[in-house]
Parts: sequence; structure tokens; C-alpha cells
Amino acid sequence: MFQWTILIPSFLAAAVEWVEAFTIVLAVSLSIGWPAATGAAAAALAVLAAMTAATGGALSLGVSVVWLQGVVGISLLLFGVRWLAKAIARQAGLQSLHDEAQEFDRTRARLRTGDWYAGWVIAFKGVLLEGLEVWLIVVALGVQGGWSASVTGAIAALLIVLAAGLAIRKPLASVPENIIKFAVGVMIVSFGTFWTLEAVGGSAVWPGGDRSLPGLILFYAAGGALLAAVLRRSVSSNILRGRRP
Amino acid sequence: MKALVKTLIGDVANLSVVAVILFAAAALTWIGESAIAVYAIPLMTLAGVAWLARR
Repeated sequence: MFQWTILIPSFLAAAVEWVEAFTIVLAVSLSIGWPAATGAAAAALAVLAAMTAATGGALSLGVSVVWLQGVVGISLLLFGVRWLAKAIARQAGLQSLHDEAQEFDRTRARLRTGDWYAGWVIAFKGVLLEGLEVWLIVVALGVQGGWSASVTGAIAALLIVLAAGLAIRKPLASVPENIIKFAVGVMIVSFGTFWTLEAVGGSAVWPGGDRSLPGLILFYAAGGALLAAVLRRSVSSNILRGRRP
Repeated sequence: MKALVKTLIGDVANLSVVAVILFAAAALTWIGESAIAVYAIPLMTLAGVAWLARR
């Protein structure tokens, strides 16, 4: 008899992780392109599959998920705060007012190259970390005697999240560049804050666990928009008074 | 390789912002104030973003 009591929790728990992984891949794909972002995701899934097949998983090698969360969280914060700050500065009119046209174009081309690599690494690491969590869920449920139900639940969740995610891909692709940068910055900083604090303070640090993530995303989105508005106002009033912004 | 490292890590200001956030997170959890950390760290991060944007 098929074990629905294993399949359903495996499906639901894996769906949460796959949604998080897909959110990262989607956000990165808006900046570096869909093929590169899915390539990074596929590479991460391949690494996960190889690790699982060859060694029985990362934990048997002694790699702690907490350490991974810490490393990924800090690198996301390092990248995210800068990206969000840049998007806010542009939105407020600070960056374009400071740059000369030629220098701006050259810098943007250079950043685009850098952003591509960084974006690829972020998509790769994000999927790897979330995939490790799915693996842990599958193993935790599977060892109770329901391997096929546990694996089926996780794979079904992946396929459904992919199908739903691909449906919203096109409308997002038409959003203007700076709004995309802002949205990516918000998401990266949110995931970075979440994982870093979880690595430092333990998995019980966030009230509601993974459900705190939407709250963090809302906080950074609202806070960032408010910051951009305040900075823009300050720039405008400085221009009116004849001061340098 | 240098460009990749610089893109991922950023400049001294960027590093300083993240270092302060990490220090605060570690200090708050060390003294057992994790409940405060979940509110203080996002606020500090946003303050750091504001400072970086203003530079």
C-alpha cells in the first residue's frame, strides 16, 4: 500500500524549499538570463545527485547544513546589500547625477560582466542549499520506511513548482531594469538575512521558521521603496537650493 | 578571477556593513537575545543599505 502519510509531508515540505530555490533562480534569471540561471540550477541539481549517489549525501561527509547556511547567507548579504543600495541610489537619482555618460556606460558594461558570474554563483548556491534541505527531508521521511513515497513527494513538488513558476516567467520579464535590480536586491538580502541569522542563532531563531521569509521580503521591499523616496526628496531639495546632492 | 571576487565581496564599505551585521547577530544571540536579533538585524541591514546608497 502506498504511504500517503509519507508522501504528503514530503511533498509539502519539499514544495516550500523548491519555491525558495525557484525564487532565487527566477530573480537571477531576470538579470543574467533564463538559460544561464537554469544552467546554474541544473549544475547544482547535478552536484546534489552526484553527492547523494556517491556518498549518501553531504552529511555523511561531515558537511554541516548550518555551515552551508552561514557561508551562503554571508555571501548573499555581501552581494545583496550592494545591489539593493545601487538600485535605491539609481531610483533616487543619486547615481546617474554623479556619473558622466561615458563612464557610466563603461562601468555598467563591467558590472554586467561581474553580475553575470555573481548571479550564476548565487543561483547555483541557492539551489544547492535548498536541495540539501530537500534531501534531508526525503532522508528523514524515507528512513521511516517510505523511501519511494518520500522521493515521489519531493519530485512531484519540484515538477509542480517548476510548472507554476514558468507560468509567471513572461510577465516578470517585461519589468523595467532598475525595478528588477531592486526586486533581486530585496530577495537576496532577505535570504541572506534569514540564513545568516539561522546559522548564527540556530534553526529556531525565526518565529514561524520559513514563514518569516515573506515578512522579511515585505520589510526590505517597503523599507527600500521608502528609502528611495526619502533620498529622492533630499536630492530634489538640494538641487532647488543649488547644493550638490 | 579578481573581478569575480570583487563582485562577490565588494569594497571596504560593503564589507564593513556586513561585518557589523554579523557582529551584531553573533553578539545578540550570544547574550541570549535572539528574539531581539530577528528585528534588529533586518533594521541594521536596511540602515547599512541606506548608508551605501548615500555614498
